[in-house]
Amino acid sequence: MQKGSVEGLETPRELLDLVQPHIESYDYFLGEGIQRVVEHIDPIEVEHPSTRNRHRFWFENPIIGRPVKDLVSAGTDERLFPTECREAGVTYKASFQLDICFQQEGQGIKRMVRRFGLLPVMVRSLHCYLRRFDRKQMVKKGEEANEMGGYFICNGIERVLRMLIQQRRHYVMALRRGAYENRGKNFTNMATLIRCVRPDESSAQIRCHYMKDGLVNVSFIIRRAEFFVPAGILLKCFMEVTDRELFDKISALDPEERGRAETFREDRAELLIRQAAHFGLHTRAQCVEYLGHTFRTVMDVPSRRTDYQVGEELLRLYLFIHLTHPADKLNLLLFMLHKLYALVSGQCCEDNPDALNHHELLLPGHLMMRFMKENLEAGLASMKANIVAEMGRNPDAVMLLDEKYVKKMADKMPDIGRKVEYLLNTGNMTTRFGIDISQNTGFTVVAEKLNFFRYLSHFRSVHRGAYFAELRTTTVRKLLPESWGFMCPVHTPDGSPCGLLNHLTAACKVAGTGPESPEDTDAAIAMVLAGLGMTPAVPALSMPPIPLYCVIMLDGRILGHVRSDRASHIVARLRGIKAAALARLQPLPAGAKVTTLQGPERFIPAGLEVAHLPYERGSPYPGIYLFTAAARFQRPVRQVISRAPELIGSLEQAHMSIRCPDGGAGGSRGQRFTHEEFGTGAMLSVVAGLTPYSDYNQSPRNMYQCQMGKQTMGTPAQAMAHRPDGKMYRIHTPQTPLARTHRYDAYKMDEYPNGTNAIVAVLSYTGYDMEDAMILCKSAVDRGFAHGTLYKTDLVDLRTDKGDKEQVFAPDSRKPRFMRGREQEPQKGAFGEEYPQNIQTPPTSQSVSSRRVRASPSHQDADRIDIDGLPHIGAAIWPGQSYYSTLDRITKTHKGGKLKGEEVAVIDQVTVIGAKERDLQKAAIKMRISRNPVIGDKFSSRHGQKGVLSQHWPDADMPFCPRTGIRPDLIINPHAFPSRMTIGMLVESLVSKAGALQGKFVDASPFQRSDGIETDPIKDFGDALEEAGFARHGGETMVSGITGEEFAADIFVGPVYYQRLRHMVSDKFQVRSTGPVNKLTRQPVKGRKLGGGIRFGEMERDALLAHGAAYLLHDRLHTCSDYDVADCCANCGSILSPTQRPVPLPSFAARLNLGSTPASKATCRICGEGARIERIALPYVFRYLLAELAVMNIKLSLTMQ
Amino acid sequence: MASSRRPAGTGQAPDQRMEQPSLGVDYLCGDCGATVKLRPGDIIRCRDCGYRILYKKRTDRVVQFEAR
Repeated sequence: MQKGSVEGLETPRELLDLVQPHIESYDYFLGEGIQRVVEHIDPIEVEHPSTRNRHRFWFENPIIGRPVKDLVSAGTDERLFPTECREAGVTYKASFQLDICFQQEGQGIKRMVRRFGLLPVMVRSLHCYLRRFDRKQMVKKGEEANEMGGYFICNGIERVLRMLIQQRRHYVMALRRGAYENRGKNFTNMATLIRCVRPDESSAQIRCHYMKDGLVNVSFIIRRAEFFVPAGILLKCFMEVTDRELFDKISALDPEERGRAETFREDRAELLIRQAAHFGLHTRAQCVEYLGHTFRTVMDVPSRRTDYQVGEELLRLYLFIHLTHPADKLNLLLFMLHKLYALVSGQCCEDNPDALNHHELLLPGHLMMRFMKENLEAGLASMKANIVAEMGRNPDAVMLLDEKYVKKMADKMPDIGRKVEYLLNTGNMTTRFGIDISQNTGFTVVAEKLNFFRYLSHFRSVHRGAYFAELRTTTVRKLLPESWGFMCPVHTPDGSPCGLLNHLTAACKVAGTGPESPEDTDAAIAMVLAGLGMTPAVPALSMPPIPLYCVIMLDGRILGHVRSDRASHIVARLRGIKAAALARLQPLPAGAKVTTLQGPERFIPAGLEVAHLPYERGSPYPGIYLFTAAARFQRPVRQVISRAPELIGSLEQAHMSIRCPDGGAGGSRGQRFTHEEFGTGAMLSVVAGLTPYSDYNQSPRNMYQCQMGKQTMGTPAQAMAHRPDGKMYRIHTPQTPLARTHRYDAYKMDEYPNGTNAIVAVLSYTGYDMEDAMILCKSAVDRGFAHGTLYKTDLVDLRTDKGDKEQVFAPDSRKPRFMRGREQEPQKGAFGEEYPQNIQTPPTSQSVSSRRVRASPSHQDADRIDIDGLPHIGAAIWPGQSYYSTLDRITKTHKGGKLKGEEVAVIDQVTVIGAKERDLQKAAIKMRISRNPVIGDKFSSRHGQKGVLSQHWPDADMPFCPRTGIRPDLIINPHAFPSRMTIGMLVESLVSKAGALQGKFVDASPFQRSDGIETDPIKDFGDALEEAGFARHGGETMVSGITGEEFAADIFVGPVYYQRLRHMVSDKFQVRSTGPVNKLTRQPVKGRKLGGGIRFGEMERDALLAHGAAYLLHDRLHTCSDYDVADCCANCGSILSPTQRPVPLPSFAARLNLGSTPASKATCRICGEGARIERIALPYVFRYLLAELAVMNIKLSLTMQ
Repeated sequence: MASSRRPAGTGQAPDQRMEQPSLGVDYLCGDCGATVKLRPGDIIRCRDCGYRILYKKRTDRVVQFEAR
């Protein structure tokens, strides 16, 4: 096998492909996207009250810069690099500016540049300096050698915009939903809907609702409010059509059963036409005017516009916004009606809105476009509002041609960069008009660098949307066959996000952009199709009947029709063209051939989706649906005949016959396959594909491994010195696994290894390995097995927003340094380990050996803190000690930063960060905390077999193989296997053992035999074991280290790759005997951080009660809680009335005789001196309760016996 | 580890540093690697390249930890 490390200077293509959806879409945003956003913002118009001149304002010419430093001295590099942002805790952002254009009607255009703040820039996007860096340059700049980018750096933290699932654009879906019946009287549960997307990525949904009386209402959304318009009116709005034409167009689609169904359509066509007539609307102008009149108030248009103009505006802005031509809009509306009728009459089935073939993704770049559009529009609107307000106050001051005045107004527009930063920092998006996204939180996540698995999973994860997480039904979480090859069936978390948070398969791509010039592409496709026999859609012609003809739709526009028997021919040709187009982008594999492209065929993109849905009664509505737009899922499959790869989408996949190498016909007997998978791995995500022999495991175990792989302490980064992450775990003895899948090498996992090959014996030996506990050989641990470090970085920023505090780092100069202070006993940690000591050395000593090195006798801050107020590098800080000190220059007070937690930290790195202020006010202090395995730490193999370390077993007492002398590093209990059926782990052990004996790494990819590799690991590697003189099934004779006797049974031993999980007792243990209490109740507080207790709740109480463990119960609930002693008056039964009264001091002589007398005596304030006062023990809360009741005039008296 | 043992002759020599004026602290520039000596009140910047992220140099004191 090849090696899993990177060679050469180029970042591996495989790694870059993982972040492709993020970078490609953001690049699009930076270039064409922002341009289109600005183009699609409508100008605002104001009329000057005194001059009556109309002025227009709009944006043009957006420019996004590159990140530069804000403080640059002359002659130095002004570029701001990502590393610098991470280390200094700032945002990686670049300038954003627009031209504000303004014009008085009939005069020339004036323009001025306005800056809109700084826009966060995605790392490795077009405007990032790292884009073209090779690995060497990356390392030089303090980056990972294999930096992939795809994230933003916000205040030093790496954040990723989540990919969210959305409804597929430009595809008419037929749905039945109970909610539709609630829209009003007469509504049924049936509707067809389409999500239309403009080139600026803003979207709007149009629905055609079927009414109980056979009519159709069209719904659309204006500013978050839903409106319904009768379809009969809308049909006449787009073009001048006669009723006869309209009737033919509506009823044209002639179903196979002539008799009944024909009148069904004709009846409804007649109803629709009558509907418009009912309103007295006959011509197009009348209809448009009617719309304009009705919607004038909603649309907020100037009063001088006529109703007709308003109606036109409505059609342009809110109806079928992806189309510009009215004929196309009419055709689409007709198509929606046809599909609706087909749904109603049962000709076609409803579409599943949860299936992946009706989905696309909201990509980071597209989200940015929508967000920018919303905010730029809001900016213009606020400018208009400001101008209008001023016109009302002082019309003469409004000089709309004066640049200074316009600048003053423009400067009031909000800082958009700040808003984008807020979106990225919090993941919250507040929208005014709603941008057709159903959630407003959770758009970003932190790209935690816990290990490489977790890191890359952030870029591959796809969320269904926050709305579905609350949904009680589980249908949306179902794994549907439509997801095959796009979404990994294994890699989803268990628990609440199960099935909602999915991961893309390794080969899955997402189209980040549409074609470069959509118009040319559309034209080319139309020409090619016409050449192949398509009848183009012409307004004058009505649509031909459906089973005979098949509609061809391109991105939600009806191109034309083709005879159904020609359809498969057209599709086949298009697929040939697609493959050829793809071959121009990437080299063809050997043995593959593609057609030569001629004429307009050359303009057809490789990413074209050709979904051919054939006619069948009761199945989805037929047609050939073509898509070129962005945000679609894509994946490569191989064409059977040409052997060339082709990119397919999720809608077309559902209607293609693709052979999977598992050998079976896949339930479609007698099918002729047109395509085949590249391999069985096609269905798995990167992380799932790294589980060795996952095909031998019970499936949920593979899911668990996907989770645990992401919680493993591993190698988070190579540029550790340049990473100021809050927490980072690292293991000291990473190894490459002996048994690995081919993905391991393809994705260069050796760059970030995650575990160690441990010799694992499966036997029940000590009794300390019950219930998934496991035993580590003490000597193995001492040799460094699974040793790890936690890196913690504290970014201390003393600057405040107000700037009124004059805090700087400074040593505490008042205390003389090196003075002997209060001596402390050597402290011990929670696990009995001795704390390390800082050594005090005189600064004059030239060589250390000349003097005795000794531990500092005292613990002065000066032992750790340098004269800059920051710690020495290498200093050991005990919990509770301060590791930096600050000076408030106004109050002249010093303060120390105390180390929290229970562990000793060693200062690893101190970074000071210069800012505008002169002083030393910002520093990052990185600390190392040793995390070597202790009892209670969690480990797991790669097969979902996790366990907790229960003992460090002495080497001498470990069982051993008498022949080889090998003692296992790790012992697990055989009971871990029968119920979990993780045979993969046993095979891994066997195979790794043989591999180790042969000196080879073993290919442990799943489904090897289906992929044509003739192998039976148990037989093949059994042979190899036998050859090396071992038992072929992995068992070995072993001797007990304690008794020296041979075990009766052979023990299964072999190397298994073990991961150390980040869940460690050091982070979790919670102990308390006494500690902080709540002030009011005197009961222990809760919370580990505060040193509180764990709640001993009602169920626990019940358990003790049931056992009759009264003493224990009393101990838990009283003695260890709010134990209190109170004086109680036996007479009146109150504990509130007894008070302590001082006993007058007896004379000196009396004192001599009596010895000591009590200083006070309890008396009852109600019953007087004579009452008997008893001391009783009771919970303090009880006393509190009595006091509270007393306040409400309720007396509670105790009866004492 | 010397933790529990207290040195024999305490309270002598180490006080020498107190008398010396503070010399500032050495840092390394994050960009060019030059040594930058900063005294209190100095601007946080590399004198050679103007880079504003500086790493503190490792202490020249003896650092000894528990070694098993």
